[in-house]
Amino acid sequence: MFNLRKTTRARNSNALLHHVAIDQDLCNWCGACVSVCPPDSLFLYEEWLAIDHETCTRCERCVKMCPVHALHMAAGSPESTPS
Amino acid sequence: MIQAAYDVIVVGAGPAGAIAARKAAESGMDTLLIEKRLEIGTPVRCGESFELHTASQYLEDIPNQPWVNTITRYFSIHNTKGDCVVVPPISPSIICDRKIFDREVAYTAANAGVQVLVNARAESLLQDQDGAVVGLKINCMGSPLDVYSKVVIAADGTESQLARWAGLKSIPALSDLYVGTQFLVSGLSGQIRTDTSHYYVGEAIAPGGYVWVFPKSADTANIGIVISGDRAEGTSAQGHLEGFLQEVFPRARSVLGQVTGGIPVTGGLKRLVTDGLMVVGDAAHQADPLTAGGIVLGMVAGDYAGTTAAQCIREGDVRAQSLSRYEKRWRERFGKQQRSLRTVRRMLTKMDSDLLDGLIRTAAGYDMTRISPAKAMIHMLTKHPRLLIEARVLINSGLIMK
Repeated sequence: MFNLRKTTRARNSNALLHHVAIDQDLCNWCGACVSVCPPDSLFLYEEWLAIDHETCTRCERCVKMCPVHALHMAAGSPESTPS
Repeated sequence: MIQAAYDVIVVGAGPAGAIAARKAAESGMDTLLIEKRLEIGTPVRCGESFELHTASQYLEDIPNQPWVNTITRYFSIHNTKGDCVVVPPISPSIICDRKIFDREVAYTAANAGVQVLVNARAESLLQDQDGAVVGLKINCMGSPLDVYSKVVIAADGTESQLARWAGLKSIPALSDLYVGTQFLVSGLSGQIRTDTSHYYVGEAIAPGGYVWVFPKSADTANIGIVISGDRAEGTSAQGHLEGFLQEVFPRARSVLGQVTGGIPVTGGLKRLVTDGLMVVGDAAHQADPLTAGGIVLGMVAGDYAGTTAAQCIREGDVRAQSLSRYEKRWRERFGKQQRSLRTVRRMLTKMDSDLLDGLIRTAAGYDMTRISPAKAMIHMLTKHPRLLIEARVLINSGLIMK
């Protein structure tokens, strides 16, 4: 049977092979994504957007919300996409 | 420059924060207003339009202020088929330059005795052993320090950290969020009216939202879009806006500015106060749930919060129970209106686009100066019986009296 706790942990770990990637060229630093992030994993520093992949739950709300589609789900671990 | 303690600290120098600080200072409170940015008013994250009548309570001689670009006296609502209804508004709207406006409002606060400081960021809350907020860790012009206060007012905008730290912030559903972008466009001469705020609705134009054209001059306008957060996955807000411009204003080729952002349109946070802290403006989701306009609502909230903070400090009780007089006053004035407008938005979001187009086409045939609202409603229902089903929601919400 499914082990729910294990599944949750897997979702939060980098082992899962997809993550939120930020295209800093497209980003306008408006903070729309920051205001919708449930675990508070996105950080806006004036003209730079950063994400904490450790706490990110991959809920994709930020990806759906971005007015300029500067966020997308990317395959692989976060290290594979420089941001 | 900065003191070790104040009566009131306000975080965020937008209109809501500036009015809150000013009202507290006018009531005799030693008040600090901090802004994390280097310059008040930038970057602009706004359609730059607000209703004149209510704003006049807070700012003198508005029509002659340097930040006024135009004053619009009419609304026009357009559908996807080119029909247009012109509605005379209850109060004129000001289209302003927020860069100058915000700084001027902050100046009125400074002039009332508030200490205003830019480049000062709230890093975290200072709390006593019971969790009551007693001040802030502030990074002021590069130096970190603890500043104590009796009341903190959080006016730090949609991505409010303070409301989150204080446990007041809730993450809205995607359907309760607008995603938007706006271009300042030139080359519109002869295609827009400077006395009219134009609105365009319809699924093909803005899914679950609308496009606005607010004239900044005879040739330039803020042309912006909001779409519902739960419909933003396909084409981006910016993609929809580019499509709109190509279709409706193909000759306007220059974009002199762009604004992007997300606006929570829940109607307001469930709780606006906690021990020693109050939330106002966009941080408290106090935007109009239909139009997403928040300048005036924020200023009124700032007024109520600043005044209440001063009262509570004078009475020596800044616990949530006491500060909640602000919340009560805000809800008495706007609670019902906010709930109703949210219901209207939800109804319009779900409405069949042919019906919406049809309603605007029918209304376009009315002489708005002559027809009574009741008569218009009856005529509308006979022409579009389907509206009855949709209007049920409005009757249930109490917006239309039975």
